[in-house]
Amino acid sequence: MTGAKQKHSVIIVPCSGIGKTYGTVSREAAYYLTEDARPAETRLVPLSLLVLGDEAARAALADSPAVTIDGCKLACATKMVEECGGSVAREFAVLEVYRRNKQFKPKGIAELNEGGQQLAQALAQEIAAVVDTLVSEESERGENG
Amino acid sequence: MVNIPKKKVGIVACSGEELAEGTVTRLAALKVLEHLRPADTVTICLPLFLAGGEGDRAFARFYPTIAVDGCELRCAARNRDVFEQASRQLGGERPGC
Repeated sequence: MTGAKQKHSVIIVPCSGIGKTYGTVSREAAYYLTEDARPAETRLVPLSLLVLGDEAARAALADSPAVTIDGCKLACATKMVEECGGSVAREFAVLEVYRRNKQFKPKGIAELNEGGQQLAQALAQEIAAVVDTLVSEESERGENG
Repeated sequence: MVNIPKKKVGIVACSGEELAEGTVTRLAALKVLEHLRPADTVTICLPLFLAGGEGDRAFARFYPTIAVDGCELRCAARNRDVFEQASRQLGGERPGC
């Protein structure tokens, strides 16, 4: 684990699905969110570190709400965060987002097509709205507490 | 019984979303899978073991796997080893959290 802890950080845990398009979409959405859309408010935690039982990754979950992004119905990211004792503030499923944005048809695995990139950005925007709400709620609690 | 393809090698890539090296491992694994050895390899998703991916668990139990790691934590190799052992022990404890 690297990176300093933000005051109001939201942990983002994407599916690590390798070999499937929706897994790639989940990861790309996480990158858009943590690098471009909400870099100051979010922090990406790799699923593999949670699987491994990494202490820093677990500690990050203990301190902040998590948003999970799953690429299939197995929901590995959500299950793993819950098993690690984290608080899943919101779970996203790529398939559900695609159903809301059927104009963006994803294809490709190693490299997403244009539709896949657009779907990832749409997903990132949905998550960004949730992050804004979580950060706002956290700020209000901080001011009142 | 899970239907497992014969004579395949599993590629277990680091899923390190946090590091560029993780992306390199994943892209390398996919290049092997899609272009270099498409008939001989499959990819194995580590978290699927925990989520109950029976196919992945069974594969790691009976077939050789190659771990590709992006950093010194060696998540792929360590998890693969742990899960290979767990797969051989019915009811064995699950690693990680």
